[in-house]
Amino acid sequence: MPQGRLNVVGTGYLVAGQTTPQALACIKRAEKLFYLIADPVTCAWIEDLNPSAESLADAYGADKERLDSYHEMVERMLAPVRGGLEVCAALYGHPGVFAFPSHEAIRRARREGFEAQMFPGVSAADCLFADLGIDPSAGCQMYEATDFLQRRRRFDPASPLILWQVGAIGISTCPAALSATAGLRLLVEILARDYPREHEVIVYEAAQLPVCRPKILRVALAALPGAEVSGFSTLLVPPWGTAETDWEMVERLAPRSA
Amino acid sequence: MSQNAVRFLVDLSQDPVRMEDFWHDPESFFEAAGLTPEERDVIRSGDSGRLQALLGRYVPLLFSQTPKPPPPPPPRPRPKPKPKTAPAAPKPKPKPRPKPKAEAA
Repeated sequence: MPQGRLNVVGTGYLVAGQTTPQALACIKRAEKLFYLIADPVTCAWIEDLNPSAESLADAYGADKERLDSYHEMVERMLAPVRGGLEVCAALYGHPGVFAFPSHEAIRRARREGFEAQMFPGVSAADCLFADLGIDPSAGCQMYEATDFLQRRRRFDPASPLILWQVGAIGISTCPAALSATAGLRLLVEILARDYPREHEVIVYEAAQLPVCRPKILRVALAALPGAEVSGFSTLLVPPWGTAETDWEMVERLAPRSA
Repeated sequence: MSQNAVRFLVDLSQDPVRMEDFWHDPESFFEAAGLTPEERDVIRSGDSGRLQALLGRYVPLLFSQTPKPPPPPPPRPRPKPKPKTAPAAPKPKPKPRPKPKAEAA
């Protein structure tokens, strides 16, 4: 097996507070560190931990398709791996949740015979479960918002529905400023087929600094296009109604006496 | 963004009990960290806009892209209608069978 290794880790959402010990060890020991992190404080912290740190954020462009940016990031990550170095890529949140470049870098590294591993991190959904008191044991559906609209995803309104990147519906680049209104209007049009227009939905953003509180904005579905939604926002649509019980199945699942 | 401000926020983020203690007595934490009056004011406000102005801009990095689906296949061409041909000549009617003669009683 050729030398050179890729570790992909997540830094969570609260500067150093949600970076796991595994991730911290990978970040510190890497011979070359790449990062994709949204807030400048965590960037400064990462750069202090490992002087080889290099941001991949400059691969994005306002007029550049994000898929092209992702492929460029993957090649930049793999170049030092091919050179025999132990490389670490640190993404904010969980590195594998709604994250194409991390998974693709690992796929390619393994195809080329290098060791590559992803370590779990704290995702925005994990922060949402904690901040909003949601237990996914009652069911939980998650989709990327543009995918949800383009592919007519079938979903159960009686379970929580989480839509990611809801501030960037239909946007395939990474512009400096996002305008969410048009995409949100389309989303409301589709959701209104299954939920009442006065159904309360929640625009959520995890706190990114310890001196900030999470953003929890409750609005009626019909009012969503006018709400403050950013590129960091995740939409939670709480359940509407209850799922029907299959009494025959309840009977079949009941414990039998010996 | 000063190194003191970065270190202050990093330290606070790693200890949830310290985070709660900070909200009860922010001034002693600011004093210990050596933050400037401007930094204290901005951090005390918790306002994301002022924090970004002090610390630098947050950039929402989008890690997932749903590619545009491929265009639908073109509609199948309709089959060409068969050309009309002249009607075939009618077949001659078969000759009727002669009726059998009735037998003498």
